[in-house]
Amino acid sequence: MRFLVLFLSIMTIGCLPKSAPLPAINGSQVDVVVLQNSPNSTDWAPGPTATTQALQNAFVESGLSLVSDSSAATPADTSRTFEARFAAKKPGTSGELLLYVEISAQYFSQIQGQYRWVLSGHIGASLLDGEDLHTNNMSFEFPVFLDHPHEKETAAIEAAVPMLLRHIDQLLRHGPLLQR
Amino acid sequence: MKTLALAICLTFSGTAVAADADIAGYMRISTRPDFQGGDGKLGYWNLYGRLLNERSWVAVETRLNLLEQAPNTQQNWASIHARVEGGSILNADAGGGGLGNMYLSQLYALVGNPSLNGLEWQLGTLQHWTGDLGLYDIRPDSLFDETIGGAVRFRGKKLSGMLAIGDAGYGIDPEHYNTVLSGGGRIRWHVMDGLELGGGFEAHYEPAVQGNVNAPYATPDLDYEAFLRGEVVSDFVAENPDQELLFPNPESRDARSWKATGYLGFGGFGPLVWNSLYVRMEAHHPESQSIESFQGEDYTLYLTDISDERQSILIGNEMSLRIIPEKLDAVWAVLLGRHTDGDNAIAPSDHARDYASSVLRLQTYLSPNVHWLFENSFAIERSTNGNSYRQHVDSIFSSQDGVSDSRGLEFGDSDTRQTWQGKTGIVLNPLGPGVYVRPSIRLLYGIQYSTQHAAWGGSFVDSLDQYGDFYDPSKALTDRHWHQVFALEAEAWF
Repeated sequence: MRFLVLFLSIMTIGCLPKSAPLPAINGSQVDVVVLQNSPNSTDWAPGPTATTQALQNAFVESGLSLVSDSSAATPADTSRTFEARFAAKKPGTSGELLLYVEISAQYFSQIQGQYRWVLSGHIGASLLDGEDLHTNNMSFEFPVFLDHPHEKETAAIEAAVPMLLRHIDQLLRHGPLLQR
Repeated sequence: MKTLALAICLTFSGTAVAADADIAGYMRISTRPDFQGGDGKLGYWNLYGRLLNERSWVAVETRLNLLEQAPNTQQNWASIHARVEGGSILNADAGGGGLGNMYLSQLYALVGNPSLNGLEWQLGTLQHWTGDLGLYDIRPDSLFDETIGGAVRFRGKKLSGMLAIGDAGYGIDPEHYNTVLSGGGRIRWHVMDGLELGGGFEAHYEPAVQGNVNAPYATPDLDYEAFLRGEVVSDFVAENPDQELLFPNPESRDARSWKATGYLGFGGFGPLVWNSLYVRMEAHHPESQSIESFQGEDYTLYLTDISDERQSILIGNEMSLRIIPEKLDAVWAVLLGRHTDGDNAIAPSDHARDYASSVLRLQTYLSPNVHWLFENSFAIERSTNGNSYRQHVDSIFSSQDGVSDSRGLEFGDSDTRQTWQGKTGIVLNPLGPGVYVRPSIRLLYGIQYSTQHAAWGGSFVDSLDQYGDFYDPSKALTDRHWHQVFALEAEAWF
């Protein structure tokens, strides 16, 4: 009987509605830009499609629609700093949110059967509200662990989505980006 | 070469350099109250799956970037890795978390230059593997486990690998150090997306060194049965009365050993996420020496000739399956092993056995963070040199061919042990679905059936005098083939 109660409790917890992956955000459209580079290069390239799509899906689940003409495939400006590169990109229309992610993956070592990669970079968010442009940005560094040696930078960045969403959530909860 | 020399100088120079440190690690801690007299593990070892069969463990690794990689430059970079690990945590085991239970398992410098197309030099410990059987926590293609030395590693898009050379003397026998030249390498070929091949080889050569007591020697005409019984010297004295001083001097030998590994990986189609198949063949390094006492005197026996025919082969496969995306994942692993010892045909040992095992883990996702885990394992272990397992509570009286024989070399009344384990429970994963996604908090129940009596670690009697003291003669003796534990545990990589 106790086991049954425990089992039903767990099943109930498991069936509870999921919380939205991101908070309610001001704006109606979102443009997600993910760029990657390697630690020994300053050349930026579009990030993994799966990562971009996962972030896009999270925004869609939060009630935003995707911009039809995304700048996701556009390489970053060659400016030296993230701030300058981020500033070079702006939302196109009022009500549009731009999420700009720069990410690098660097292999660390094998630890207890897993392959540790260190993901580092910056996230910027800017919202065009009428004539006003609200921006916010943050840097991040966290590890991800991959199961197999053939999984390289792309797999590491794809595996970083849950942590990226947590950081994006924190970023959006500050300032005027969050819907009150 | 100049780059290497420069990097080594910079790495080990006393110059103050702005350094960036990174820390990583692994932790596994559990409590498993056991009211059947066990020590908290469901079974003896991870042949039945690592889950509930391993103890707490902690590992901390640091990487100190002495020279950071600067983007778009040809500058050298250098880092130092150090790892401390061990299996003792306060209140979790008998070791009490003492630092004496921890060891510095890895320390190496890694240096490279962007212009060298992915070439890196590693100096220090060289242990390296390219994957593992996660359900068993076994790394079949691990190489250079005992070696300290230098290696050149290369990481290309299609090919990666390493060549290494060093000394495995302390690693193989730290108490009787003698230089053991160790060399070899591995290569891994990314044939195409979804297909990988790999292979590796490591050889050891321990040359004879005249006058060095720790070099490989062999005591002439050493009889294996007399050695097992501890009667080599007494037999000699019996045949040569009052001539103990003429006990034969050891003869010098060379010692060799090797290990070869193969790997086939494929996946990325249908429900198959990835399949890793490993093969390892090994000729084990001979033992060095052993002490035998006779009439208050210690005699050293040199064992090269009676321990140089030990070989093993291990085949392991692990398959990750996504059966229902976001709902149900499975991992299925198989392990086969055979150990042979050409010098020993009379007594069971770890070098004369076969084993086969299969473990299947299912993990279903009640929500992204709440999972239910099921694991089933079955294993057969067979001693190829006679009985090695006690099947019954009174098997303590069986020592040769299943009968009592105080001179018997066997142990118990069966040469085979069969073990089944079932495990289930709740897994909380803050980072979402995935069999190997961590951190995890687990509440598990495990049950084991073994053909061996009391087949789990504990403080059960193992000698006849204890048998008389700790068994109540008024109560019927019962075999204990079933064992169960509850476990609350946490595991994380960081």
